[in-house]
Amino acid sequence: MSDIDEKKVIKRAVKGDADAFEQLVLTYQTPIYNLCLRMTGNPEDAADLSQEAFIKAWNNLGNFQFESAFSTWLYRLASNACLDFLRGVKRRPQVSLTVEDSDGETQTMDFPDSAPGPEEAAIAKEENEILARAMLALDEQQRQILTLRAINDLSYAEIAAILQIREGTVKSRLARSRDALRKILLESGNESVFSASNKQKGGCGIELR
Amino acid sequence: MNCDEYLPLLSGHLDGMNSAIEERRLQEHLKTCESCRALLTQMEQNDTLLKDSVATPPADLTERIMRQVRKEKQSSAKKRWIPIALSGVAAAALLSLVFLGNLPVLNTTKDAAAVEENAPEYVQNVGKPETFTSAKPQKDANGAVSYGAGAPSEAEGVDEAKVTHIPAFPEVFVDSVDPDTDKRNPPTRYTASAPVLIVWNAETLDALASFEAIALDEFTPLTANPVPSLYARYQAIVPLVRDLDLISAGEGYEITVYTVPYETLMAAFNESAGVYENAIYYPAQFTAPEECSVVLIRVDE
Repeated sequence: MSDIDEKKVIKRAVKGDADAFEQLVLTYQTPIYNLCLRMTGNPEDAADLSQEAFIKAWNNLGNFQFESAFSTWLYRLASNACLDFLRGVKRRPQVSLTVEDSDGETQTMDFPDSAPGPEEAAIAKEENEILARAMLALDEQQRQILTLRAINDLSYAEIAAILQIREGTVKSRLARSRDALRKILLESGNESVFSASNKQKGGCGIELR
Repeated sequence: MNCDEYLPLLSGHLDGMNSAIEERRLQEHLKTCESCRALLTQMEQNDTLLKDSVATPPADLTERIMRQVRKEKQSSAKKRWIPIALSGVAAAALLSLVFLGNLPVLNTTKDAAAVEENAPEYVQNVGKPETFTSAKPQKDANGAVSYGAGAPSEAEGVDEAKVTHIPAFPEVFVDSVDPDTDKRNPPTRYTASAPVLIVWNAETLDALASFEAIALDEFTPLTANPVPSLYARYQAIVPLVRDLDLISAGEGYEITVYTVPYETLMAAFNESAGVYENAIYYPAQFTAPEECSVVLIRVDE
């Protein structure tokens, strides 16, 4: 959908046109769902939170200002829904992952025990599951920004607008997040998975499928 | 050598967001630093993993969302709908409470003069703020509403001509609540560069009251622009208006509050036919209160 078309669709949605809003849902549900999925690590929670974000958008469309992109606003609603949710689930059963930080000290990182059930696990790629767990071991800010950049492929400018931070901060936060993810993957003993993959691919990439 | 400083450059390289100088520095460093080369490879691999991990939403997600969207629309339409005929006066009272209640001193000539004298330059440029209070509407035995001679209260010492004079504005928006959706129905845009005239009715105010943003006792004093407290209070409406997302622009607002009979307002609109061609933005959804407050917002360019 082009920017102009999107504006027209939004204007119709603002006036209460549910079909127009459905077009916006179809356009943005995948990136929004992926953000929620990486933030929570659980497909059901991700679907619920995506729904919550879209409903919030629908109910507040009247306040939408065209000076920011609709997507920016929507990502922000979804981000906030996820952060609120995560604050509420801190008390849920957690599994721990021990990680050595840059000072060589051992840190215990907790994340919700959202491991997929046996059936899903059988279907899921091993690498994807490891990655999902590693993402959950990051702090919320880190997995949020990594998802926006590496999974949803947003530009620094878009991320800066969503998180309301400067582009320079986007750059430094992404660097720290990437480094943290790398360390978690190494420290959780999964480097063997990657080095094995590397051998298959001659060390220049990872075969995932 | 401390490789930590290259971390942002490694990350920036992956995103193509390094400046030419940064990129040159990084490439020079990578030539001699094996560990940073390994770091880059690992980060690249992780990025690829992430990119390939894009998940497909559940097949029924759209349907779930849209079912709720349509349900919310229906259920809210069933909500209590206050007949505006009953709430017109209440609306005026409430609006007066909200706005004029915070601006009592503006009614005196002395304070108005103080405002003019001490106001920042941009305010002087656009004219001094004024508040007008009209005569209270009177109901006769048959329930018909009249405004006497239509003149404002003598006691206020306000010239009628001024009351009926609504400055020319390129656009007038009526901010109302849609009876069908029970949702606030503001215009799709308020221009930041042009003066905006906003008319609120009772339903709008009811809806606004449910917004957390309205915390009338939490006006932020204007510290950046030290002016007499009168003017600070007057300007305190600005954060409110901003909080409500009514307008969004840089500094330099001026807000004037008028309380006028609705008929007077409409007469003024009609007199300026052409200018106010699209004066009523949502005519079907806006029912006139007997008396209304008009919030006039000028944005300094």
